[in-house]
Amino acid sequence: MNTINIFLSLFGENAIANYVYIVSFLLFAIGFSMLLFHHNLIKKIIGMDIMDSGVYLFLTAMGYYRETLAPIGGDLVTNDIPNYSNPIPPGLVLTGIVVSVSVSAIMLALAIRLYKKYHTLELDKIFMFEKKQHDLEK
Amino acid sequence: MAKFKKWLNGEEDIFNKEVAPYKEEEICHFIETKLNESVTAKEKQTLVSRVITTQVLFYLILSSIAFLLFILVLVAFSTHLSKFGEATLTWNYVSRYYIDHSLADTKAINSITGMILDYRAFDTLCESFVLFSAITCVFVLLSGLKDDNLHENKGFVFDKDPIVKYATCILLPMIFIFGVYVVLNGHLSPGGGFSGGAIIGAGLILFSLAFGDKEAQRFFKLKTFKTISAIALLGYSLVKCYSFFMGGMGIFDPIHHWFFTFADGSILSGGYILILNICVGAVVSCTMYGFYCLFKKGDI
Repeated sequence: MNTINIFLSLFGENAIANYVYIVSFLLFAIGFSMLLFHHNLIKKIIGMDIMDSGVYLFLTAMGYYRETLAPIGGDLVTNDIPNYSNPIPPGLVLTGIVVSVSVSAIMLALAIRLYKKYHTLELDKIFMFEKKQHDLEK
Repeated sequence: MAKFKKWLNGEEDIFNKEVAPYKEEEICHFIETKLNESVTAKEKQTLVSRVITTQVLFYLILSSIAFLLFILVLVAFSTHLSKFGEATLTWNYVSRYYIDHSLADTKAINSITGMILDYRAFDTLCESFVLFSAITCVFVLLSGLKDDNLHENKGFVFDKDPIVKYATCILLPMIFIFGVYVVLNGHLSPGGGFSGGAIIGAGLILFSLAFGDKEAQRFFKLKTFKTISAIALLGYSLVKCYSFFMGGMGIFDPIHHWFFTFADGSILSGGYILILNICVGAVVSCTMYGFYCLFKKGDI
C-alpha cells in the first residue's frame, strides 16, 4: 500500500489536462521499444521514425495556446493575453523533419548494402557471421 | 495476403526472386562456404528456433527495466508541466519579440518564415546542407550497385497503364502550380521552401512513375541535379551573407530602396526571403526526386 502511494505521488495533478504530452511520450515509447526489441533492421528504422513523430507532436503541443491563431497576419501585437501561438516550435519541428528525412535515407541505404552482403536483415544472423569472421582472423 | 505475410516475415522477396533472403539453414551454409568454418549444432539451433540464451535473457531483462523506467520518468514529468494550451507567452520573451517585431524587421507576414529565413537563416542554410550531404552519402552508398539485379525491379512502373497516365496528365500541372504557389507565398501564407519543394518533388516522382525513367531523364539528369543544387546552395549563401553583413533588411536592398516600395502583403514585399525560399525549394525538390531515383535504380 505504501509503495503504491509513493508511486502515485510521482505524478502531478495535470495528468488529464496534459493528455497530448502523454500520447506523444507513448509514441516515443513505441518507437524506442521497436529499437530495443526488434531484430529486423527495417523495423528498427521505422521505429526511429515513430520516435521522431513523438518528438514533433510534443514540440508542437508545447507551442499551442488555447483560443489563439497561427502567427500569420499583419497586426501581430501581443498584450498580456496572447493572440497568437508561439512561432518557435514550428521552426524547430521543420529542422527536425529535415534531419530525420536525411538520417532515415542514409540508414535505408546502409540497410541495402548490408542486405547485399549478407542476404538478410536480421541482426543476429549478421552478428553471427561477423563473430565467425572475427574468430577466424584471430 | 499470405505472400505479404511471408514478405513481412522475411521469408520471401516478392520483387526480386534472385536475391531472396536466406533461410536459417542457408545462412549457416553461407557461413560454411564463405569462411570454411563449420557451424555447430547449438548455434544452428539458436538461429533456427530463436532459443533465448542467458546473454539474450540478460539483455532483455535489463533493457525492459531501463525502458520502463525511462517511460515512467517521461510520463511523470509530463504531468508536472503546466496545463496544455495554457498561455505562457508573457514570460517567453524570445517568442514575444518574434511576434511583435517580425513584420517590421523582416517584412514577412508569416512570422514563422520570418523567423527561420531571417533571424535564423544560417540554421536553414545548414539544413539545406544536411539534405545535400545526405543525398551525397546515399549516392556514394548506392551508385556502386548500378548494374546489380537489386535495382532491376519493374514492380513499381506503370508505363503501360492508361489510367495512371491520363490521371497524371490531369493532376501533374495542378501539383506543380500548387508547389510553386506554396514556395512563392512562403512569407505571406503557411508554407515555404521546404513544404513547397516536397510537393514539387512528389510531382516529379509521380511523373517518373507514370511515364517511366526514360521520359523523366529527358529533363532531369545527374547534371541537372548537380547544377540546380549547386546554384541554389551558393545563391542562398551569397544572398544571406550579403544581407547579414549589410545589416539585415535595412541598408543596401536595391529592390526596396532604389527602385520601388511595396506594401506589406504583396508578393515582392519579402525582400530576400522570396529568393531564399526559391533556393530552398529547388534544393528540397531535387533532393526528394534524387532519393527516389537512387533507391529505385541507383542513379539519378
